[in-house]
Amino acid sequence: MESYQKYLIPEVLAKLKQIDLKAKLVVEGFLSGLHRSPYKGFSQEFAEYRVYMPGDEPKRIDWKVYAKTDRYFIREYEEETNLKAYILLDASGSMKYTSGKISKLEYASYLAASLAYLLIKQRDSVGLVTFTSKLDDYVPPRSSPAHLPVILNKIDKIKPGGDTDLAYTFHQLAEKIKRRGLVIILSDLFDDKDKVLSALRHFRHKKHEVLVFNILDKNELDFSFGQPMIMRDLETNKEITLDPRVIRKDYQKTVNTFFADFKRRCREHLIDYHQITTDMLLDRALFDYLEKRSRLS
Amino acid sequence: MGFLAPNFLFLISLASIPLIIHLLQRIRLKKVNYSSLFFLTATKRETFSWFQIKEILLLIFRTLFIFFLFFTLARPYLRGARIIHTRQEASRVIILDDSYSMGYQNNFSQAKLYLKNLITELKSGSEAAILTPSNNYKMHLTSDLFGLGKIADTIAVSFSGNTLAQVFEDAKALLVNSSLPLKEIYIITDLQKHAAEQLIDKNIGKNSIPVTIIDVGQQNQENVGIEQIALSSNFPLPDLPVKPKVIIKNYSAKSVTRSLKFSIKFSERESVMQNIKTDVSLGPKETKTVQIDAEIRGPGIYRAEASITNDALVFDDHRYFAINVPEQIPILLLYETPSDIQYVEKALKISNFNITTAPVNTLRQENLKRYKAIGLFSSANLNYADWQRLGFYLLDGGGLFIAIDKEMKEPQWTGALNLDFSLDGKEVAVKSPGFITIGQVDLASPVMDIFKDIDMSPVKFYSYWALNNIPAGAILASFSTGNPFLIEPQNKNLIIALTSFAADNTDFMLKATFLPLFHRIFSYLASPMLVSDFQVGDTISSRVAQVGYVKIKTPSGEDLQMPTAKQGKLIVKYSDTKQPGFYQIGNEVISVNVLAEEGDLTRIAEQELKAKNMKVINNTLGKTTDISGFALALSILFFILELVLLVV
Repeated sequence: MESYQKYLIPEVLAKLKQIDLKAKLVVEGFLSGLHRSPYKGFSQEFAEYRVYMPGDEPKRIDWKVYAKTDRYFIREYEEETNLKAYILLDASGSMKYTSGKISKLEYASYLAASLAYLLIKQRDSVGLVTFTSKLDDYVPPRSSPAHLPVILNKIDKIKPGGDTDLAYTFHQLAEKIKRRGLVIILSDLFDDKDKVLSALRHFRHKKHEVLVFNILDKNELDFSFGQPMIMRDLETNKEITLDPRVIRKDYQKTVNTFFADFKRRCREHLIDYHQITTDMLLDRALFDYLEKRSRLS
Repeated sequence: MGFLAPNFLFLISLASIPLIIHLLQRIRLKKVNYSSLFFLTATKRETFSWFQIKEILLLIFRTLFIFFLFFTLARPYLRGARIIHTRQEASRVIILDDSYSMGYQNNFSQAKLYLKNLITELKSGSEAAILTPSNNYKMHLTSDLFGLGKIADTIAVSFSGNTLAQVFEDAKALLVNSSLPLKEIYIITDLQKHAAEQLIDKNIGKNSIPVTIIDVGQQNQENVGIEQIALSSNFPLPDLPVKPKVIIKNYSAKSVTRSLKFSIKFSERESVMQNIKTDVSLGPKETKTVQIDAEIRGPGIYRAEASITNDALVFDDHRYFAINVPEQIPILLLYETPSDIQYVEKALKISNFNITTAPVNTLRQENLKRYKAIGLFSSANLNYADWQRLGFYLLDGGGLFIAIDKEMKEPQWTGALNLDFSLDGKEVAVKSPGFITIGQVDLASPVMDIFKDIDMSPVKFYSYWALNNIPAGAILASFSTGNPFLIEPQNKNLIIALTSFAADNTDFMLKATFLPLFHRIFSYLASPMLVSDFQVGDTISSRVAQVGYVKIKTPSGEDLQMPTAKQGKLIVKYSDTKQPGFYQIGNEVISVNVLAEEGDLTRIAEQELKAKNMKVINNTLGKTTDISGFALALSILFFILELVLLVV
């Protein structure tokens, strides 16, 4: 593993303090692991002519200009900046849960910061929305490098808590975002499935591309608790007494069915759905994003 | 059902621990924060699952495992049919044979089952007592039958031999004062032949108090025991190295092989002189002597220990032996004129005897305690006080040799020495043919056994003293006339020569037999002071120099004992010798062993007892069953089930 790539491990990243540094390290680590340029396939716009210098590729010589001027010039292009991305980060109480070293919210924060860094680096516009049962914070999309610290600062100062109402928040946002773009959702999706899907469809209706990262703790899928216990809901503080060994199989079945159905219905509506657990490397989500980005260009 | 060790029953309450832990876990459930109850409320709740069944089964198995474990410790047993139905109040003395032969296999646990049965089946208002040959439980009749049952639980096999006949007398004495009309004696024993014969001698079949013998012994009981550790020759003297030997006896009727371990330590440096391990094969009823290649030579304390393994009865598989050899053996020779001892002194000087000679009239000035043996070669002029001093000296374990040369001034001298014979009052002069010779010699005696191949007949005596009566004890040698020459009175460390060894009475000093005879006599008389071998239960004693408590090292630890002053000497007496092994009082080491004969498990025929009108109940009647093994098996079973359940 190259030195940067270790920062793709969430536990390693959790030891760093500054969010901007975390984002930088994740993205650099990610890019250093790629074999091909992530920029390949992007549409490009003419910027200027430059005198041919030894070492430049002959194929880049503009032969029409040569015919007119009898001098070798090569064309230089500017990368196109026409994508607006909105990162929607769920900061509800349930995102505080952790069975290991980092919580779902921490994982989602790293991912959001890394995506923002990557987007800005690609000269795309990126905005940030944090929400619980309502919209908490809204940072409109910008593409300038000076915008990145604003976003990272917001991510760094997220205060989790409260209930979730994903559908309501998404409907609100769908109405608020006028120009079509890419909506990246980072959430555990613990809400009414039909309502959430209806809200996601709303984004699609508004011609947005939707990329859902369903961030879960491994324990939420396995439910690998032992002895009988009292479980307290991090959002509502409600408590129930149960024997995890007794209900484990049914729980797993319910959860798997829920998310399998969610995924299927997302696919039906051309929504990209990716389930990620907090023990996974962060590059997994970045790949998913790039795949989506390349399809958009 | 009953329990042989009910004291352990309270431990059964520990079986409730898993239940308590289970309930506590239920009460104090762990609280866990969880992201959302969203899916949990949606999950179908099962009311019963394999996990719950597993948990309940685990709880049951764990509880039962602990329950049966401690249940086993309480030694449960099932009562069979009652031995006897007592319909009225009775006075019952139960003699429980706790001699070590009862330690054979499960004989003693069976005996205790019967003992408990005999106590518990008594009607309220009855009284009972338990007596044992070891005398460890001195008891009177008691109506506290519950308390008696508790005492019965604590009785263990002792190291003692069997003294049933004596205990039977004690039992009769106990019942004499009982006011209840029904009196009974029960004897629970393994019917060892030598003990049962004692009972036959007591004629208990015709006793006014009904006696029932409960036989818990088994047919064909096999045992091998170490009978003795002895020395190859009788006298462990500094100048005469001797080798130890181990005598092993097979009491059974078939050939056996046992592994023998022997070690001997020299106390002065605690160095191990010899450590041997060897297999010994013995034929049916065979006694074998294993000679050990270790020489006991120099002065010091020697401790020898022998043991055999792989034997059913372990109590007689160990034997201990201690010898305290001094630098020189101090002896005192008393004379009237120096010529009385001239030759004897010269003969003994070549050995390691530290000889002191003194005129006989200075006896009262001598400290006799300094000497292991005294030779009195002119005894005629001693007064009664002198004889009394010599009598006390004998009682203290000293050895005394008396050569009677003249008529005693004090006719009561035999009384002072507590002897049961008297002289006829005059010396017999041999007229024809003018002398007598030595006729018969008791070659079985350890003093005389060296004369097997040596002819003593050339020795001539010209006069001797005749006895009025033949004394109890051994006649070591006789004159050719049949009159005793050397006598050894019974239970006395005393040898009397009924003649003078003066040059005008015998030519003995010119013969080759003179030197070995006196060497033997004085070694023999001094040797009891060197070898100490006691039996379990004996009172051992030793002279000490210090005032105040004396530390006694015993096989089980240490003890303190205050010495008692007796005739100006401080003596420590110790009677708590219930265990075999080495006991050390001051500098003296004493070995204590079990009675070897008790290891002979040969049984008397039941018919023989019945022919003497003795009532015998054998082991098959009213049988009680020890279910400890079954309970232990259940405990193990539940433990395994628990493990299986944990793995599944």
